[in-house]
Amino acid sequence: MTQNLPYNYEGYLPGEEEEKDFSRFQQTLKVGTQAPDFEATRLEDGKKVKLSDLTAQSNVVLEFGSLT
Amino acid sequence: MEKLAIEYKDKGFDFVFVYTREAHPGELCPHHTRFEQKLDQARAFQSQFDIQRPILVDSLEGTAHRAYGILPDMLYLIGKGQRSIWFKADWTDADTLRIILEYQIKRREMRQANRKVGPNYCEFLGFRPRMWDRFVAHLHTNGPKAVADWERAMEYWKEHPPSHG
Repeated sequence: MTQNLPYNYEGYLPGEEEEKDFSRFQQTLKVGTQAPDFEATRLEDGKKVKLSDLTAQSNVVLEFGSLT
Repeated sequence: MEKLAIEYKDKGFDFVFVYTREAHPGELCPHHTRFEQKLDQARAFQSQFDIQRPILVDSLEGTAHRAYGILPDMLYLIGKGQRSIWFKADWTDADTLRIILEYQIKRREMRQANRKVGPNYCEFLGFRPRMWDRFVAHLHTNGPKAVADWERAMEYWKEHPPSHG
């Protein structure tokens, strides 16, 4: 996305910042390192769930995305 | 991905979808301004694509999304216990993931057979099928603004070809 756009931008706009995001992706969170824990809301029941709760039970495939 | 989730569930892999900001918002599927709205659009996503995997809705500010690299369709495989990152990709491709899962199963089987294995670092350049027609058709369901934004993006990329995707 373009610089200075808010996180929840109103319209998609490519630019230098998006290029940097792709470049940074390769440099951060290297394989073999510990994945950051986070908490999010489970859609099914509205409960807060931590990634660490899930990885305590199983290996986890984590996919990110949206409707659009 | 739904087929893989079912196939590999009993092989020690749980699949989770993290719902993020809208990548191509439009009049019919706008950007998020409230968390309740984000939940509603996550439900629409679940219904429209018949998603059976558990969906975790990220915070309105994108806490998890930012922590993992903020790209629109990232994929990670994270190991049980210590949360070691076993695999990461800047785009989700089921065929690539299947290769990785089979590789990990092979590693597990070697350990179970008491064969000594140790980690090694490796990289490879993946590829994914481009389905522009399907993507653009979907953009129309987001609203005219999403289509117009995409057309502007195509014009931009004529002058500034992206290094990715």
